[in-house]
Amino acid sequence: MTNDQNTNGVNNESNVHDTNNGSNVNNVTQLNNGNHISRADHLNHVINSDYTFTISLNGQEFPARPGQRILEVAKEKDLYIPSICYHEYLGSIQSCDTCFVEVNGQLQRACNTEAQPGMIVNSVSPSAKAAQREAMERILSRHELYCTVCDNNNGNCVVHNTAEYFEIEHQKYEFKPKPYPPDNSHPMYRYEPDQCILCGRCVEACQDLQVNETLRIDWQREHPRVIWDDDVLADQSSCVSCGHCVTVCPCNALMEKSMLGEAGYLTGIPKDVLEPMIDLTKEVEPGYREIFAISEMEAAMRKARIKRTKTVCTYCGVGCSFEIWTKDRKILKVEPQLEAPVNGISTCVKGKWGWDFVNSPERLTRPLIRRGDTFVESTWDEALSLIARKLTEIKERDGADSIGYIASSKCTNEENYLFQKFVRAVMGTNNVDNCSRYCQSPATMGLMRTVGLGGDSGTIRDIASAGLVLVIGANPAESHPVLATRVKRAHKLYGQKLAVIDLRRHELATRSDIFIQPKPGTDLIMLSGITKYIIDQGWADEGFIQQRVNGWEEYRASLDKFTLDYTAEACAVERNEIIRLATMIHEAKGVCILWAMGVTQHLGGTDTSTAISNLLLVTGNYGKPGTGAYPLRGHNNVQGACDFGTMPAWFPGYQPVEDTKVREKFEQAWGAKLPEKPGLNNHQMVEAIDKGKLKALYLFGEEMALVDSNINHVDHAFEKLEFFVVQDIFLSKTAQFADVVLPASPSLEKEGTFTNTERRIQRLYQVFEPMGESKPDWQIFQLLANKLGANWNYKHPGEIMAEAASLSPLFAGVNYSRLEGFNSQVWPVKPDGTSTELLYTERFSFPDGKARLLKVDWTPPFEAGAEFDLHLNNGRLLEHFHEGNLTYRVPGIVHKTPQPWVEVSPELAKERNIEDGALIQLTSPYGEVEVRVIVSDTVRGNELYLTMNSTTDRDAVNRLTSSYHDKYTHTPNYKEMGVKMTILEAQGENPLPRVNHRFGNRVPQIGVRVEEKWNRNDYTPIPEFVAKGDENHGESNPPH
Amino acid sequence: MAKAIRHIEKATPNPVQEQAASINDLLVSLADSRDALVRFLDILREAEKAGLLDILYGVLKARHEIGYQAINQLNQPSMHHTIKNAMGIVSFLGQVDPNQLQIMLGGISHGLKRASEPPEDGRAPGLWGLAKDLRDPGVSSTLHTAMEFMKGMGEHLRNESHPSPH
Repeated sequence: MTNDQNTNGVNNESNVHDTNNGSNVNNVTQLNNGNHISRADHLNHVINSDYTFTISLNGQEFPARPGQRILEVAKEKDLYIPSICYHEYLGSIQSCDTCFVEVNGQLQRACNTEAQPGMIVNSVSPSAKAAQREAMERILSRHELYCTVCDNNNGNCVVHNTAEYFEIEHQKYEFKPKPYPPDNSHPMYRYEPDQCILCGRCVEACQDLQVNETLRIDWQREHPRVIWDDDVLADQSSCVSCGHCVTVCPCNALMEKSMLGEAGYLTGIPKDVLEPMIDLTKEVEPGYREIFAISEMEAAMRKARIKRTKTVCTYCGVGCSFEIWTKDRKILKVEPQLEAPVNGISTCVKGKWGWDFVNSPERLTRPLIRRGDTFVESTWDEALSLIARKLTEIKERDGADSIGYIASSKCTNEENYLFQKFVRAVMGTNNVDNCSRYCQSPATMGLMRTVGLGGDSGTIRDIASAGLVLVIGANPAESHPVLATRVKRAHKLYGQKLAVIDLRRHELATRSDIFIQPKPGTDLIMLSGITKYIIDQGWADEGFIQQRVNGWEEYRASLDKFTLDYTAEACAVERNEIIRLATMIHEAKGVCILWAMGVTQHLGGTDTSTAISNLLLVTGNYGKPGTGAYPLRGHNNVQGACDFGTMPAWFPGYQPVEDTKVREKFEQAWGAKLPEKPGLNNHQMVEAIDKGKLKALYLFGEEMALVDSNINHVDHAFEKLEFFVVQDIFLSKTAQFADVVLPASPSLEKEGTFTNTERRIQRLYQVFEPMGESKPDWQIFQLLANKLGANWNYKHPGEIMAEAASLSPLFAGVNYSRLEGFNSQVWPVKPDGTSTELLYTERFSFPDGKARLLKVDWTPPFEAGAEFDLHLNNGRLLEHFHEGNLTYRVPGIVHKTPQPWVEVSPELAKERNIEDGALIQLTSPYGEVEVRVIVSDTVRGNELYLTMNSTTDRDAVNRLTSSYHDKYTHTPNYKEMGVKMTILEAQGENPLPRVNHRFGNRVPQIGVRVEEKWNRNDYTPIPEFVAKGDENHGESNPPH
Repeated sequence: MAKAIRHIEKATPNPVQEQAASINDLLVSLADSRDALVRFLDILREAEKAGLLDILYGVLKARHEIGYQAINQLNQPSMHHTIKNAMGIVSFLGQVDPNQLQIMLGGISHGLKRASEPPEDGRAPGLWGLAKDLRDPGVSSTLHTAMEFMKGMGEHLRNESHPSPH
């Protein structure tokens, strides 16, 4: 797969504008002429000003801020100026021309003309109206209005609403079809050139917001259209199916296929009836007013049957929220909204399209009880009585600590709260943990011991506004796609610097200004070496350190050994790379460091996380906008599960179970005696089962039998359990070991809240009724607790949150009414409901308010032995969530990415004489897998990358990993394994189909290049057209 | 020792019990809507007697075929004209001021009445008589109205054949 995104991507050092179409100089500054302003300037202008002045708009005074454009000034006061291509998230595109207004007597585009004090603007003067009208007429020559039978007629179609505003009765320029068939190749969306108005919103979104750089408009051809890559079918392109283009399309040119024939009352009509109907309507066209009246009525009727529900995505820790449109149990589409606090209109392939699993016929709908070799469906009462009886029996016989409980980072805060309350107050043990143990516990620990709180220091806005983003041991473009878009955008448009330290040349690495590939497992040395160099240069932020940090001298002395030479040699990198990165950190205005499993899943994961925090402290990069530490949480609620107490040593809100006062508070609130000692974590539970100390396990919403490390060992442990309860939506691999399986409901079938990687709490609302007899997890816990005599009576998750907030100072002001709709709260939340988006602005979270520099040393990584000569790296990929239990039930995703693969470097492939598609066996001291090869220069030398999207025994990466772990947190060292390769077939079919985006060919450019439209011979600028007046009339071909 | 297993024995629902439960649900709904249902059944009976249900049944069964035929019949040039003309007339009626139309129609009605009365002397007026009638205020105001009407219509016709700028 050498024809990866890299080949045509933006090179490290080269200027984005030079990579393609070298002759066509098109950069941001070129847009900057007259009082038309560039995007970069615009961003800075508007954000940084409190000063206001007024302009006269249609005879009234309107307040404006420097840098604001006229259209924005009008929008703020709800004055309507027509505009089609302008979009709040994309800014001014200047392609539709419908926003022309008279500015001091001259016709100008309102979307791109900066408001100036004393400016006199008229949007309804005869010439302004004539200009707007002409623009709209040109648009309608490219778009056929058959609104009533159009699936996009849902009240929010921009073209429809604008045409209606103009009260257009008859078209001046006849609609002319374009000579291109619709592109229906992509499994998730379609492009219909005949309906495309060439506004360029999709291109802007693809090029500059998602920054995948797939879409363009080819302005050179006679009939311009949107093209994918070098004009290939959408399905064959570099499109990552993020859905941005479909979301921003102002009409029906780009549409979700799931909407087609479903949204309207008449749109499901068979084609042989529908087409003559459209012809007839056009033929007898009474004028658009009547058509609009009918289409409006029809749109209103649609509201009765299309339900729009706000939900929060469950596919990673970024916390995207959006509306989901449904008709009965059918999902019509996911529609992101401007007001979504994290993502706005952004989504990734999973969030936009990945929800089919909810209606899968494989969902569990009734409780299952193991009888011999078979699960037998049972009633709830039967299943819960059995669980209550067995748990009581084991507890009475072997003690409360002989049972373990594993919570879910996919489930809600309320469910995690209730579960740990059940475990502690009803079952009397602290043996409760969640899957952060497998990923981010080391990061949490590293932060708690240096700055006091185990969470991101700021929000996605800080990341977007940082001067330098350093990504280490993380692949956000695949694992946190929407967060990565903000980095890519800032880097492409606003001059943000991007540094990447990673084994793999992943997407952000290809885009970075500096990319360092150290030897596996040496990140701590690299970070310490950089920090030492910075200190030696006198670049440490001494003022910050003196005022706000403890432990400086001792820490500084601990760095002695991390000299440039030592670091360069230990990490196998060039000295000058270290110097260059250190210099960039020093020079940057604000540094954010992003990290994930590449750092944490090592023997020294906690220490490396600590080294990251140390570097930030030394350079003063905490407590200011655009700075801080960002351990990117992998699951939607891994933050919340920890926050709400499913951890062996902590009550909700990180209150220690060993603290007598805290315990007394909870004992009083819960009316039960609570255990004093911290319980077992996940890893220790598996060990305790193995040793016969843990007899029973209750687990919900975790696929531990696939995602824990060394799963051969874990599987054996599960087989030894006396009693095992699993609560899930599918019969997962883990559930297959259970004695009782309880059918739970996924996020779309319940209410609750999730906390994302930013510490942001967001509500999700119920879309569907629970399928069959499945139930939301919190209801199941309550039923079981009551079987055991707890007598709980929670009627709604809001009551659970109220209780949790009343007991946890960190969440004091959190409540459901403050979280209505798209509102969110970022903890710590004060009693009055005030969020804390940016941490540590005044003090660090320690009694004396000061941060702590902590000396850490390098732990050499695990060595499997000389015969295991290849290094095994592993992780997620964009299209599938984790192991894929959910996303393999989405046909469109499977079409794109049907199975896992292993990446082999070109040099190793040559040495072993294998090609794309070869089948190899990888063997570690712990197990073996069989998997097909992709030869790729994302990896180098003897380093392999095995993707983790496997739900089968044959190719699951954790057959290979070991049970060694980080010494503080017991997080397994997933990223430290040696394997040997046996070739089973030297050639074979490529594990990725041709339609995977990795085979595409990106075409980077800035925006839609509207200048090329203006330069066309058939384009008459609107002011010119209006000035010419009568001469133009009678022509039948519209100017472009 | 609990090995991983995948086989699920589905609880086969008891069809008799399931049916009984459904019927019970239905009965509750029926009882709740008693009055409406009795009235509706009455309407249904009448429709059956009148043969309407047969027609409806036929139409529903053949809906695709009928829709296809109907739309193709409608989508013919002559039908386009009919529909357009019908809409043109409707739109014309929409533009006419009801008061004016009322006066005009009142005049026509009164004129018709006069026209159907036999002349006083039973003879048709001579040329001189007609000329004299022109001085009659009623006649001259009708003629004036007709002249103005013709001017207005002519103006519009001229505009249509030499379109002015939009």
